[in-house]
Amino acid sequence: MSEEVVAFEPKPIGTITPECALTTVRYSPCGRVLAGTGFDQAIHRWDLAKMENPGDEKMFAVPGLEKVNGHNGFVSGLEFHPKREIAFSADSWGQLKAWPYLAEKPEPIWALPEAHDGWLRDLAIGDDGDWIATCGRDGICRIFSTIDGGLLAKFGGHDGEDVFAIAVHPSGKWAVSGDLRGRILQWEVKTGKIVREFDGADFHTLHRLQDLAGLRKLYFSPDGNTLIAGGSLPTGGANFRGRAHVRMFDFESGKVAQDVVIGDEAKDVFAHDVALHPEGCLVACTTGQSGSGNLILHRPGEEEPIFKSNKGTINCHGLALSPDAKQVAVSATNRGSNANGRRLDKEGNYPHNHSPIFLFELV
Amino acid sequence: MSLCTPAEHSFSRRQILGAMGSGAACGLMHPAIANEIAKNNKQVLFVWLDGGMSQFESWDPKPNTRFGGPFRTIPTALPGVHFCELMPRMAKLADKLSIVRNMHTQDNSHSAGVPRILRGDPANRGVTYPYFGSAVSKLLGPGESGLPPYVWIKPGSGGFKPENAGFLGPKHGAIAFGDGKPPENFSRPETISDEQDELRNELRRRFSDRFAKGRKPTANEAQSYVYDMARKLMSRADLFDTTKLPERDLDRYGRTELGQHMLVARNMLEAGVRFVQVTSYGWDTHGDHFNGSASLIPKFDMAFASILEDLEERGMLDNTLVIAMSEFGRTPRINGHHGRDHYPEAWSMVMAGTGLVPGAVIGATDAEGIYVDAPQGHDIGSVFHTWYHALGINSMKEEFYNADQPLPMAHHEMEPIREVLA
Repeated sequence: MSEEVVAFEPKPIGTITPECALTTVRYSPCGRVLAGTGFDQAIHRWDLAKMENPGDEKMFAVPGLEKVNGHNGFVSGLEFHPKREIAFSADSWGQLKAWPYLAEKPEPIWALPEAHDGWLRDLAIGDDGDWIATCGRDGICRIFSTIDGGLLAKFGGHDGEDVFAIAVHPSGKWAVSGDLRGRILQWEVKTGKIVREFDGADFHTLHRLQDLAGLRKLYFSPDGNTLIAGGSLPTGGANFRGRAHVRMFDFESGKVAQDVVIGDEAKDVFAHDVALHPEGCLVACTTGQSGSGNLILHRPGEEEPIFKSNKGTINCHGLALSPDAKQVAVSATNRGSNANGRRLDKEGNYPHNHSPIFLFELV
Repeated sequence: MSLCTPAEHSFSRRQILGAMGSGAACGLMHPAIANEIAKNNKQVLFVWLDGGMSQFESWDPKPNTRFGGPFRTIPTALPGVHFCELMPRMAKLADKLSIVRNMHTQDNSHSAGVPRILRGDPANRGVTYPYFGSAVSKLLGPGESGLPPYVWIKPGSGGFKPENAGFLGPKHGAIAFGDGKPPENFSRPETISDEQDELRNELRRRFSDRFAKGRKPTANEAQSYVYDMARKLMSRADLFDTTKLPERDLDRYGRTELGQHMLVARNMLEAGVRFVQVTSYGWDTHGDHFNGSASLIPKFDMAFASILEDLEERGMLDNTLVIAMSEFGRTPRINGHHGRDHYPEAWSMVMAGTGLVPGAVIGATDAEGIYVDAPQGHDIGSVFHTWYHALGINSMKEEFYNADQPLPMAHHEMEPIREVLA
């Protein structure tokens, strides 16, 4: 990270309103496509090159591209190839597939319906784009060729525990994966040999019968000097209780550089997605109880965030920095997303939730 | 093998009224009828998943639909019937179950919903109805074991729960064993001899008799009853000890709180306890529901499948009614905290064992799990009638008595689920 950290003031550009709930959002490397992964077994795309009236809340518009279908359950992850116009998406039934993200009607380049046995939770692409690392509920991490989906390597160091998050070091030499019990392991991509373990045990606790898995995201700073673990330090089960938390490790020493308790103490439970701005500012979004959720910008080393907004950004599950780092996209949840019983809408239909995507310019 | 059929225990309202004397005590049916019912050796295992288990992630999955969630489904032992992938062992035992997929109940709050469900939600008659366990305690009694007829194994604290009994009187409350352990100071100190113990008890009885004079008998009866039950239990400390069980059992049931408690429940049933409730807390997954389900449901699957297998292997399933349920299901809609909220409108519960048709799947929900297939579905009153009938008690004809007031055993406008009764 650079030592001089710029303070940003996110300025609203506009809101995109997909019809379904999303698990995450990502920008394509060219910056033209914004994509979100849905509960509806589809990937939703928007053509940012055709954005109209940025900054005008009422007139703002971004045309949608055709949905990418063919997934099952939840679409759980999305990554873009750094050089080629290919995206990789994963779902909760274990499928991994590659598809041309600029195509009008994308057909899979390759697809692995059973890349994992069950929920494929996260994926991260190697630095040169030749391979992609995945992890899942089957307790295994895998390395696949991005060319043809061929299996290159497997890592079973988590002893069968559900692996929630994976990140690849910018050098491409190491991967780091974190599991249900908060074990964050660094391993060599070529050999699968465990190098060391980072301190993440407090991302897990057992409450009565329930293992509470707090880890949600692993992320490397672009220079590879900082490893960020985002999630929750759980305190109670059933209706998951905990404290939204980001832990920053100095990658060279492996020691904790800073623990950041994030968001509103009474409400925010998870730091669900994190990124690091090239200027050194931590960007995170949070989820929690009804009405909670924040977009947060935090300067490392400081106690208080430099920006925190709950205006519209309720229960945010995904965030992405644009390739030029001048924009951030946050997928949130509509208001009134929860209710006991069968409350019908004005038309007498049972409602479903959706994820408005808020676009901000980082000024 | 069932020792008697439900028909053999069928009595008419006229018979009961004719048999009732003017001095009928609180909650009593005619003694002849009560004795007849008590002859059967039926037992009940009641597994209560407190907070609301999701029907989507268990008995009634809706994969790849708007509200279906992330999980796959797996085939079961019943052709064409699928469970969520989180229940692989129960899927293999589906042909032992009676699955009700169109539960439709009235209350979406825990505080009111739990007692409404556990008391059968009868029409309001100005009295507090008993929990099902208390009713079974009253109707079937302790049996030959002499052990407490209504035992509750639960996390946390234990103690006597007279409030469960409603108008049946405190004697029929539950004896709760917190964390599946016997009460504190359970065993008699070694320094007290048999003779000294008897003298102490004689003194206690005298104090109790003096206390009872001029007071309503129910409270004192209950106290004496519980004390006698506790003394009986003192000779059965082995029931709580799972450390001597084979490692294989511990592995099969799961080395979890629920697995441990289910093993204690197995011990209790084997010893002849009439009604054993096992409660698991922490199912109210308004937040992070899918990861919560991924942790909770496989542990339930292990423990519940294991006790079903063992009851069947021991020939006990023929006489034991097994029930697993919550106070409601969970919403189709997935909220912003990735949770599911309370949903009494369309949910599932399962039963197995005595008096039931194994492998029956009753009712259905629509493609997205929002509505049950019939407007009314099955309410808990209907399920209570079903349970009574499965135990050989014709709840459509027999009645409780609260002093001289006849009271239907379950909701008077509802009937048992006939398709599920053997």
